[in-house]
Amino acid sequence: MRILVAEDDPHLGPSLKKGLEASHYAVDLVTDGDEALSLGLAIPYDLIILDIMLPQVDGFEVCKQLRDQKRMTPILFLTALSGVEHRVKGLDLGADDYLIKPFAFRELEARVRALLRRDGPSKTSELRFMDMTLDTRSHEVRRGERLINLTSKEYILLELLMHNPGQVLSRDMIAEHMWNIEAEHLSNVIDVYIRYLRRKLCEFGEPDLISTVRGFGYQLKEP
Amino acid sequence: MIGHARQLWPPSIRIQLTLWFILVFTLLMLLFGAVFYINLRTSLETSFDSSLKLSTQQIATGINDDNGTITIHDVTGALPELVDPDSTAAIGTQGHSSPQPGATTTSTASSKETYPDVNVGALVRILNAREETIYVTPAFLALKIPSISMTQPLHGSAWQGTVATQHGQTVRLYSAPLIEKGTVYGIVQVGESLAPLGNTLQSVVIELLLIVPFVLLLGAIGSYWLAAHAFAPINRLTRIARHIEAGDLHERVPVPRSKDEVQNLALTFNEMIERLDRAFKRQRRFVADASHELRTPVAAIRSMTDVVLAQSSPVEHEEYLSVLRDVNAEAERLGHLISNLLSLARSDENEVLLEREPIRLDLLVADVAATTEPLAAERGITMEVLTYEPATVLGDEVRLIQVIMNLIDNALTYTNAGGKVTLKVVTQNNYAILIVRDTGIGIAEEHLEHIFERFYRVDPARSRAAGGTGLGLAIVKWIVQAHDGKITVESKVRRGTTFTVMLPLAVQASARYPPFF
Repeated sequence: MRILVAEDDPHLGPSLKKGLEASHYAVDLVTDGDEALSLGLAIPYDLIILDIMLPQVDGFEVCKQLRDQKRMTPILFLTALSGVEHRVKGLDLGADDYLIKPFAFRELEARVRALLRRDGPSKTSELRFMDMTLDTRSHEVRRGERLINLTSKEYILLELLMHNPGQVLSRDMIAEHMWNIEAEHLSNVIDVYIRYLRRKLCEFGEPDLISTVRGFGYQLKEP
Repeated sequence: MIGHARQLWPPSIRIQLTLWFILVFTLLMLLFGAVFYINLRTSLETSFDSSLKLSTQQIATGINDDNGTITIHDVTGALPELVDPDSTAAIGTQGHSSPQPGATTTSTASSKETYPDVNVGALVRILNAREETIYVTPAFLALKIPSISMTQPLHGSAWQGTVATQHGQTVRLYSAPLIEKGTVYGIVQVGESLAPLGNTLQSVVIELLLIVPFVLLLGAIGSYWLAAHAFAPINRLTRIARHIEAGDLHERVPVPRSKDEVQNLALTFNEMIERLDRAFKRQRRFVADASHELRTPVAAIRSMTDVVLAQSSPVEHEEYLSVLRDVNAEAERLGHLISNLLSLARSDENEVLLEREPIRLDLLVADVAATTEPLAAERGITMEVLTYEPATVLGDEVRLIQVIMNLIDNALTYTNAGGKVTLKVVTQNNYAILIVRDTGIGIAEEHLEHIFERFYRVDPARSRAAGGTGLGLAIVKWIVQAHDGKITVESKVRRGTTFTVMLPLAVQASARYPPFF
C-alpha cells in the first residue's frame, strides 16, 4: 500500500515516513502543497495524509482540487487546527478523517489501517484468503496455523494481493503500489519477489494461490 | 546591469586590504612613536642629570673650608654675584637657617612674593654643616626643597631629585656634600629647570603627530595601488569569465605564464569550464538521444492508428485487435523507456538512496535466473547457473536484481536459438564475482568501450526488436559503481560475450571459517 504524506515540519515529516515504512507501507514525503497536488494527481495512492498548513497551496485546497479532479483516494487531515469549523470544513471538502496534533503514532496507524480497508474485502485488521491470513496490525502472515516470516517487500506485495483478491494486477500496478517514487519504475523485479512469496507460502506443498497471467501480471486466485 | 552595480558595503577586497593596511600601519606607528619617545626622554634625562652633576662638581671645586669658615670662589662664572645670606635675606625673608629636621624645608616665600624666574636665574645654594644657608641665588628661593636633599648629603652621599616651584614648574636638583678631610662641612645644591627638556620632548611629539598622518596617507595610497596591481590579473579573469556563457563553453580564460596563484586560479577555472562543457555536451546528447528514442514508439503508434483510421471500408474486428495489441506493446516500451530515463536522471542527481543490507548474491542470481527461464526456453536458449559458495554482499536487493536481470536480458537478446547463457558466482580476494557469459553474436572491438554509454547500440534494429531501450547496461554500470563495484566486458565476434561484475563482499562474510572450528 502506498501513502503520500504532505507535511512541512522538518522533524515530523521524516519521522512519519520512517514510522509508516516500518509498518510496511511505501511512503512518499512532500513538504509543500504544490508537490502534494501534482503527485496526488499523478499517482494512484492508497491514502493521502495531508497537513493543512502547507506552504504554497494549503491542505484544504489540495483536498478540494483532488476531489474536483475525481481522485477518490482516502484523505486524512493531520493538523494542529483543532477548531470545530476547521474539522467540518475539511470533512465537507471530501476528507475521510481528521487527526489533531499532537497525536499518538499508534492512533495514526490505526486510522490509516481503517481508511485502507474501507473499500477492501475485510472490515477488521485481518485480511483472509483461503487458508492464508495477514494481520495488518501485527504484520503476521499465516498459512493455516503456520507462521510465515516475510521480508518487508514480500509483505507489501502479499498485502497488496490480498487486498485485491481475484483481481489481475499488472506488474506496473503492483510497482505503483509497492514502491515509493524513488523506485516505482522497477516493475521488472516483481517477478523475483513473487517467486520468493510462492516459495515461502508453498514451502510444505500447499497449493499455489498466486497465479501468473502471462505477459501481464499476477492474480490471487483459488487453484 | 546588476552585476556591475558598485555597492559601498561590503567594500571591494582592494579597499578592504587598504583599510587593513592602514590599521596595521597606524598601530605600528603608535608603537614606534611610543618607543621612540620613551627612549628619547630617558636619554635626554640621563644627559641632563650628568651635566647637572658636572656643573655642581665644578661649583664645588671653588668652595673651601677654611677652619670652619666657608669661602666661595666663582670658578665657573655660573654664580651671578656672591651674595652673603644677609643680603639674600633682604630679598627673601631667609630668617631661619636651621629648619626642623624631618619637616619639609621650603623657602618661606609665600605665593604672593615674586622671585626671579627659575628658567632664567641660576639656581644655586650653599649651606654649612648646620644647614645654614651661606649662599643662595634669588631664583633658588622659589623652590620647595625637601629635607632629604640636605640630610642625605650631610651623611656623605649626594641626592638628586625633581622639585617643584610654587607655580608648578619643575626643577631638577642635585645636592652634593662638601667634604674636606673626610668630614662633611657643607652642602652645595644646584638646580636646573626642566622646562627646556619638556619643550624639546613636546616639539618631538608635535612633529611625530604631524608626520604620522602624512606617512599614513602615503601608505594608504601605496597600498591601494599595490592591491590594485595585485588584483589586476583577477579582474582580467573576471572580465573574461563574464563573457563565457552556458552556451559557448569552448572559450577558455588565458593562463598567465607566471607560476603563481593567478595561474593556478586560471587553470582551475579552465578545468571547471572543461568539466561543465563535457557535462553539457553529454546532457545535450542524452536529451537528443532520448527524444529520438521516445519519438520512435510514438511514431509507430501514430502510423499504425493512422492506417486503420484512413481505411474507408469497415475494419474487421480482428484487425482492430491486432492494432490495439501493437499499440499496447509500443506503449509498454515507451513506459519502460521513461522509467529507465527517470532512473538514470535520478542517479545523475545522486538522488537515489541505496539500501545496504546483507544479500546472498549466489542465491539471488539463482532466483533471478529462474524467473527468466521461461523467456530463455521460448527462445531456445539454455540457461545454466553455477554457484559454489555463499557470497554475501551489502547492497540494495532491488537494484541488484535489476543488474542481474538486465545482464540476462542482454545475453538473451544477443544469443541465437541453440545458444547458452551461463551465470556463475564465485568469491575471490574479498570480492563476490558474477560472470554472465553467452555464446551469442559478440561485440566488435570498436564497440566494446562504448557499450555502457546511454543509448549506445551495436545493432539498433535487433535491440529494438527485442524491446531494449539502449539504457540497460548504462543502468547496470551505474548500480554496480554505486555499490563500490566494478564491471568489465570481454567479447569475441560470433563467439560470445562475458560480463564480469565484482562487488565487495560484506565484511563479516569474508571470514569464511569461524575461529572455533
